[in-house]
Amino acid sequence: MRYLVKRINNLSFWIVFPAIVFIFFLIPVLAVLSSVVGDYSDNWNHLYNFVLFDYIKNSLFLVIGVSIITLIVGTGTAWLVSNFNFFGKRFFEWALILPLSIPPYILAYTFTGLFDSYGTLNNLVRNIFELDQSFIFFPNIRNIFGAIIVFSFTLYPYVYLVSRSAFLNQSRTVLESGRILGLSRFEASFKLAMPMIRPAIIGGLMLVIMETLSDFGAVEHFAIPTFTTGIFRTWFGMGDLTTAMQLSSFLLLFICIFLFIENRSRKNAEYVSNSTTHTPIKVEQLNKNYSMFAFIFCLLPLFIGFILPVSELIVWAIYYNPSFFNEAFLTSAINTITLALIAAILCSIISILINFSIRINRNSILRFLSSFLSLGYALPGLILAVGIVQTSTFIDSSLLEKTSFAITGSLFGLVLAYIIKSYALSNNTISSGMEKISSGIDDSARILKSTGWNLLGRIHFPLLKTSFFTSILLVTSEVVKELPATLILRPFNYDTLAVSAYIYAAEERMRDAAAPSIAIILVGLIPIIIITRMIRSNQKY
Amino acid sequence: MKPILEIENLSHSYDSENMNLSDISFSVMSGEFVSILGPSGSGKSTLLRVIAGLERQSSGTIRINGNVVSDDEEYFEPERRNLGLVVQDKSLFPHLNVLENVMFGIKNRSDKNLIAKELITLFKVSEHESKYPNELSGGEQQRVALARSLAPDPQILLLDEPFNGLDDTLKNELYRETKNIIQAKGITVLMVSHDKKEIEVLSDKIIALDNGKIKEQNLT
Repeated sequence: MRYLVKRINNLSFWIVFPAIVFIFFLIPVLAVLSSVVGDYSDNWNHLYNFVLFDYIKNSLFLVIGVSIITLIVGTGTAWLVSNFNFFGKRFFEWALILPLSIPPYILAYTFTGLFDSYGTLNNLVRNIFELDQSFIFFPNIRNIFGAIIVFSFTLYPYVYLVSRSAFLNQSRTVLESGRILGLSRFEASFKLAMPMIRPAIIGGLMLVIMETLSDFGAVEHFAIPTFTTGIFRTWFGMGDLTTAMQLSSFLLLFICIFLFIENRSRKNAEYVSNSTTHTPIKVEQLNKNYSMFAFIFCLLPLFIGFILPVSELIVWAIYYNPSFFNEAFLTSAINTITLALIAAILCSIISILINFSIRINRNSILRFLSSFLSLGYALPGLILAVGIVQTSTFIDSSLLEKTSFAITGSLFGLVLAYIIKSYALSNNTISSGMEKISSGIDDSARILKSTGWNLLGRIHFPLLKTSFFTSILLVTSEVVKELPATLILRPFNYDTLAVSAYIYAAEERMRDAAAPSIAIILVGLIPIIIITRMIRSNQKY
Repeated sequence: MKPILEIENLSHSYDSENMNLSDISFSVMSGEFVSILGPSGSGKSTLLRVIAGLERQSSGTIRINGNVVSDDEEYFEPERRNLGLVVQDKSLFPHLNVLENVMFGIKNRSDKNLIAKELITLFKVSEHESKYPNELSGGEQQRVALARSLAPDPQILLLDEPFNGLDDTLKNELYRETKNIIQAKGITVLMVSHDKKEIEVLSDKIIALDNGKIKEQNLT
């Protein structure tokens, strides 16, 4: 008993705080999972008998299609820019990441405007060749194949980034040994290089798959029955939150499988760069024909995933929507930035406090907690929203019943969802910044009687300023893009840029969606600039 | 004379299989300059970290000024032991300038600026007081680290190979200056080093450590 009392007395803020954050992160997930052991309504029976198979079939078809294309495009472009010199290589090195700034739902809206029967491109073909108005050159894009294209060309940069990094970290001597043993340049690439970087590629691919499964905006716009659209319709169409949660648990199971594979791949990927005798790969000059092929191969995904949609959005914004900065746009822009900054600052502060707790306590349980919290990135926004609504409704009806406060429909739930989804981004930035601070600095400060908040405020925080602001920028850009959680958890009539774009697109007012979409893309470019700078600074060493 | 630091049967291990320090006992008198000599991996730095409170020993007792600061039941955190520490890599705070670094550990004193400036002058770095650590040479950084460690007026100064990495001329100059300042201030020093010459120049008493055990002590 005395031991227990002593242990409780020793519990400092630096132990209690991470535990509280852990509970906040865990509750929405548990709320969703708790539905599995509850009663199953007639709606569930209906879903199970008639549509669940379609959800699984469509989700798997999407995942397979997107995986194949992202694999070819992501590794192909990474292989070219890492191993060869060709016209435009320096430009493609960073430009190939640009599509990452466009959320899939915005590409879906833009492609609808471009490829619809009376969309920009079909009109263009008819006008150029003076064809009949009923002639349709580009096929309908609002189907599962269109969705595969949309996801593939917005998400391939995940595979590109990890593949490129793995290619650059490969040992030249291994490839040269293969060549000496009789392999051609291409054989060495496919028989040695590809298998060596396979774990890294699988890791990137799992991120693509999780993003595809989590998406709501694009599949909803293309009217494809998947888990996310099913959850949304069950909840808002049938008014059945319990069944929506049961369906969410199903999706969560899928996500967990891919998350497990992603984690395993990340561990296996370490051997790629472990060589102590690392010699950078030799970059070869391509001849004119191959150079042309490489240029086109790299330009194509960039064109489909960035140049084409951005050009269309700019044209819409300039020519068709003169009231670009109208009041509605400004209001939703201010709402978005306010919300994003609140979430980003809170998330970055939480990351700093947790990483500092781990550092001063050297506690393996805290380290595990932080890794667990980082898994939030894999949670679909829709599932988070379902869990948070369920939890906040419970709190309002039990704990806050006799007060005038209510957290349902307030910004609290929305900010919590953003923080859970973005913690991994912030944690990676802060923890890598903290690793750069020598432990000798801490020792010296402690000897000089600086501990706890004093140590954090006078030593760690000033040294982590850059990481802190980078974290704020990264989380802000992530939050600005988030659609399903915002759509469900926002207070009544509280529009953000993502919600405005969604509402305009749902009303088939594609041109009105241009202004919020462009603003989202501009904010989405922030992490791209940061990533590009990081890649360039790493290349110096 | 009363010992200011007493170490009794101190043992320490990072894991259950290997003992880094085994049954160490010695004492240091007030105002003494005691050095611990030993090869790399002999446990010198670990011993200093345990005395500073940065690591907790597995068994044994540490007393400062007759008070137990660490044994099986009691454990004072480093900030409660009133010690100074200078380590090999200096560990100056990179975001603070020389004056701010030296002032860092002075608490609740209205004249902390004055104290810091006096030490900076003593260690001959006053012309660099507004410079940041990355703008200083290795020797200048070490002078600032020494000044910073003395600023809070510690009972005992712990030095972990403080002159490592400096050239011989600079070392000799720093030995002389450090010894003069320490003698003038009457500070007790416990230094660890593998450099026999350095230890012979500075120390009143030498303890030889090997493989985590005291081989010889009271050598002078």
